[in-house]
Amino acid sequence: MKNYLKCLLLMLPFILASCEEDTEPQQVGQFDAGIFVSNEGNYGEGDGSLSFISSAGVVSNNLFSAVNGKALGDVVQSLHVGAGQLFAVVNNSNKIEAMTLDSLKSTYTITDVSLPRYMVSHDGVGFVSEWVSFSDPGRVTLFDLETGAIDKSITTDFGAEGLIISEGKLFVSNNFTTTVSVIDLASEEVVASIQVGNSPAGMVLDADGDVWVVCSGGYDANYAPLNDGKLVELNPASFEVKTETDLNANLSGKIAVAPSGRTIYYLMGNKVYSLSTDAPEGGQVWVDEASAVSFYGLGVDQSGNVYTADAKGFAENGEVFVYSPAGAFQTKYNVGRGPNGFAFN
Amino acid sequence: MVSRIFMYVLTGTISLWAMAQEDTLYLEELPVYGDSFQRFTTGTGYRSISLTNSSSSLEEALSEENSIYFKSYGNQQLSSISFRGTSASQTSVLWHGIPANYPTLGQMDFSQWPAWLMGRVALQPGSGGALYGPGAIGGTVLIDSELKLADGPLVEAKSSVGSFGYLFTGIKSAYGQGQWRGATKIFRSFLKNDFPYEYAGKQVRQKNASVLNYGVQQQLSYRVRSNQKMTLDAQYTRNDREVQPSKVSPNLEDELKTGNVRLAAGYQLELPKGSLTSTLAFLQNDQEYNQNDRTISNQYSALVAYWGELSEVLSVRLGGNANFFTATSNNYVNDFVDQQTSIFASLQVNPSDWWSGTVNARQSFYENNRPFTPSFSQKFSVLSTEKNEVFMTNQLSWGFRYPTLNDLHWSPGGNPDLKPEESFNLEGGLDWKYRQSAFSSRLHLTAFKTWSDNWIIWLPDGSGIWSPRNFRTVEITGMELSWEVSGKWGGLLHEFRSAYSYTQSQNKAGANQGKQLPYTPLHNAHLSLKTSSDNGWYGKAAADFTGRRFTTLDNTEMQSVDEYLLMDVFVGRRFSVSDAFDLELSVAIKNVFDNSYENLINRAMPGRNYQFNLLIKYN
Repeated sequence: MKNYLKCLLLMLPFILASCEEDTEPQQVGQFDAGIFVSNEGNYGEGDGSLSFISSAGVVSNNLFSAVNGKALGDVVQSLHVGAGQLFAVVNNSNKIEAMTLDSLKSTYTITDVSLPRYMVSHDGVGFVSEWVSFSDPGRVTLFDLETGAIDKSITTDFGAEGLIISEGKLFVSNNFTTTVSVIDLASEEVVASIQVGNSPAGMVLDADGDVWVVCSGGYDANYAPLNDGKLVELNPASFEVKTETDLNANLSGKIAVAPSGRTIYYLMGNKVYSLSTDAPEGGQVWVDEASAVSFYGLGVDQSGNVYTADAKGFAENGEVFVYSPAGAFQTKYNVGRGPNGFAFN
Repeated sequence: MVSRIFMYVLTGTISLWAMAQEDTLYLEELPVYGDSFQRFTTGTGYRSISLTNSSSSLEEALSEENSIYFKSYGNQQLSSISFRGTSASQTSVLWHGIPANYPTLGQMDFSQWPAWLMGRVALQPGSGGALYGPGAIGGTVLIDSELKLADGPLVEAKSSVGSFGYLFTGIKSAYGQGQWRGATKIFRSFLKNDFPYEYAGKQVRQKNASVLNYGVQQQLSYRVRSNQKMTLDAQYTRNDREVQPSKVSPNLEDELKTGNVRLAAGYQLELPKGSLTSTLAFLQNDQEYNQNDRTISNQYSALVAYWGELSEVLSVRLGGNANFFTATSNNYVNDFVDQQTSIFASLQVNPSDWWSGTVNARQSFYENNRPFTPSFSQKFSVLSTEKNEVFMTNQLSWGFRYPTLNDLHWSPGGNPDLKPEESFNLEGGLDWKYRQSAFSSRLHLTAFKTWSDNWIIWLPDGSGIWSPRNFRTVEITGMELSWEVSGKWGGLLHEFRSAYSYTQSQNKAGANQGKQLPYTPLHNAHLSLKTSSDNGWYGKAAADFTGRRFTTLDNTEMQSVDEYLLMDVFVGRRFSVSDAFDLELSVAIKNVFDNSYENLINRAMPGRNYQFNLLIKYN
C-alpha cells in the first residue's frame, strides 16, 4: 500500500506535466478507447514501461508501475489485447504480465518463458513466441488466457518471432533463419516450413487473408548488410509464396496494415513506406520525418491513422508520431523510454 | 533540493560528532603522502592516496574522493568512472605512465583492479596534467605500483571475512639481495553477494551476483649502477563474475570472465641534473561473456621521458610514447593494428617565491588526426608565513580522447571516420593552509568550466544498425570545495575531512539542450572523521552523499535515481607482538543506517553489512 501511494505521489508531477494540453487530470481506470504503447526501456536497466494515449489525446506514462507498485520489466517487447486483458511480453525479464483492461491491475505473471517476443490469442488460448536462447531453436508456448496456466510448447525454429493466425493455422516467423513455420491449431503440430527470406519478422493479413511477412535482410560473414530485405506474400491455405517484393535494403522488422487490408506500411530509418497489396512495389516513401532519429515501432488504428514510435537512440524518452490515412502529420506524444509498438483497444 | 542536501549534510555531521563523543574513533588507510607521480604529471593539482594493505577494489578505495562518481552495475559489479561530469572514457588511467584503459571500450572497470596490487593512486582533475595519456578530458587516475625498497625482508598477510559470503586473502612479500629487490603479491577474494533487499513490498535475496577475483604480481628491480635501475612489474588478474541481474529480472544468469595481463619493463637513469625514464609495456584484456562472446585486446606500448633542470628557475620535460593495439573479437571482422603516438614537451618556470608557471604541449598522431593539446598553468603565492600559506592556481588546457576500438572497428556499425572527442578547460583554485604545532587545516576551492565537443554517440541508422557518430556537445560547470583539519586533542589524533562538489554537466546539442547528462549527480558530498591513539586504537566514520541522478537525457524526474547517504564506520587496533611481528585487527560496518539505495536504476545494493579484517606483518 505504502509503495502504491508512493508511486502515485511520484506520478503526480508527471501526470500534471503530461496534462499541459488538457487540464482535466487523467484518471487511472479509463482505457476503453485509446492506444497502449510498449516502451521497452534501456536494455539491462529494467525501466521498460507502459504508456496510454486516450482518445482525447492525453498521455499517461508509467502506468503499470503506478498501478502495481513495481517496474514492468526489462525490455518490454510487445503488447497484446485479448479476452478483456492486456498482456505485456517482457523479453529480458523472461515473463508475461497479464493485466485487467479496465484497471491495469496485474492478474497473473507467467515466468516459465524464455526470451518471449510476441503474442496472439484465439479461443481462450494465448500463444507466445520465444527465442528460448541464441543456441536453441525457438518455440511457441500455449497458455490459458484466464489463468495463465501453460499448456504446452511447440518447437519451431531459431528465433521464433512474429505470430499471426489465418485459416486455422498459426504462422510463426523464425527470425534467425529464412523460414516461416506453420502450426495447425487443431492438431497443435508444425505442419509446414516455408522459405521466405533472411530474418523474417512482423506479419499482417491483407484483405484476402493472405499472410504478408517482412524479411529484414541478412548480413554477410563480415556483418555487412546484404540489403536483401523483402516483403513476401503467402497463401495461407497452400503455403505457397504468392509474391515477393525486393526492397534492396535491410529494414526494420515492424509492419502494419491499413483497415482496408490493401495498404501495407513498413519502416526504414526515419521513413515510413507504403505498399499496395494489389500492385506491390518497393521504395514508395509515404512519410519522411526529418525530426525523428529512427522509427522503432509502427501501428495503425481502426480509422487508419498511422502511429510510429521514435526511440531516439534510447538516451532519452521516446516520441510517438501520428499521421492521417493520407500521410499528413497530425500530432506527436512524449512517451516512455524506447517505444517499440502499440496495442489498440 | 538544496535544503534537503543541507539536511543530509547536517544529519551526517551531527551523527559524526555524536559518535566521536561516544567512541574512540578511527582511521582507515588513506593518508596523503608525497609523490613518485611527479614523473607522470606536471603542475601541482593532484591528490595522492595511499592504499596500503587495502583489500578493496579501486572503486571502493576512491569512493571518498571529490569530483568522482562511479556508475556501478551492482555490488562489486562493472564500475565506470565519471570524473568532473564527463563520460567514462574521458578519464585517462595511467599505469607506470602507460595508458591502461581497456582499449575496446576506452574505459576501465574500476571494480576489477584490486588495490592490493597498488601502493598508491593519484588523481589529477582536468586535462592539464596528462602529458602522457590521451583521454584526460575529465581527469587522470595514476596508478603506482612502484617497488618499495625494503631494507629487510617483509611479509604481510591479510584476511577479511564479511557479510554475504565475502572472503579475502592476500599475501605480500618484499625481499632484496645485493643490487636486486623483489616483491611478490597474491590475492583471492570471493563474494557470494546474496544480500537481502526489499522490492515491491517484498523481501527478496539477490541471486546470481557472485564475484571471484584473484591474481598475482611479481616485481623486480636491479640497480645496474648507482644511477641506473632496471625494473619489471608483471601482473595477472582474473575477475569471474555473475552479472548482477536487475530487480525486475532477478533470475537472469549471465557471466563475464575477465583476465588482465600487465607487463611493464622500465629503465631509469639519474643524471646530475635530470633523469631519463623509459618503459616498455604489454597489456592484454580478455573478456568472455556467457562463454561464447569473447574479445581479446593486446596493447604494446613504449614511453621515453627526459626531465632536466636547465637552470635554477627552469626545468624541462621532453618525451614521447607509442601505443599499438590489436584485438580479436567476433565483432571485429578485419585484423588491424591501431597506432597512437605522441610527443610532448613541458617547461616549468620558478623565477620567484611568489609565482611559478608550467607550459605543456602534446602533439598526438593517429590515422589522419593530429590532436594538439597544450596547457598552461600557474601558481601565485599570496601569503606565506610560518603558520599560513595561501596560494592561487589557474589553468587552461585542451584535451581529447581517441575513438575506442569498438567505435572504429565494431561490425556492423563501426565508423573509421570518427574524429576524437575534444575539450577546452578553464579552472581556478584557491588554497589556504594553516599549520601550528598540534593543529593543521587546509581549505581548497576550485571552480572550473569545460567545453567539450564531438562526443561519440551510438545511434541507429536507416536499417536499424547502430553506428557511432560525433554528435554531442557538452558544457560542464563545476565547483569543488574541501576542508581538512587535523589536530591533537586529549591525547588523540583527530583528522576531519569534508568535501563537496557541484557538477553541472549539460548537453548543448540537438534536442534536450541545457539538460544534465544521465548519471552525473549535481551534488556530491563527503564527511569523515578519523581518530587514532598512540596505543594502536583507531577509528573512522565516513559519510558519503550522492545526489539525484537522471537516467535519461530529457531529465524525466520519475525515471531518476534518488539521492542517498551512506555511512561507514571502522574500528581497529594495531598490536606489536614483538619487534618484528605486528598485528592489526579491525571491524568495518558499512551502510550503518541500513539505507536502501540504488546507484544504477533498478540495481539492488546491500544494506548494513560487516567486515572483519586481520593483518599480520613480519619484518
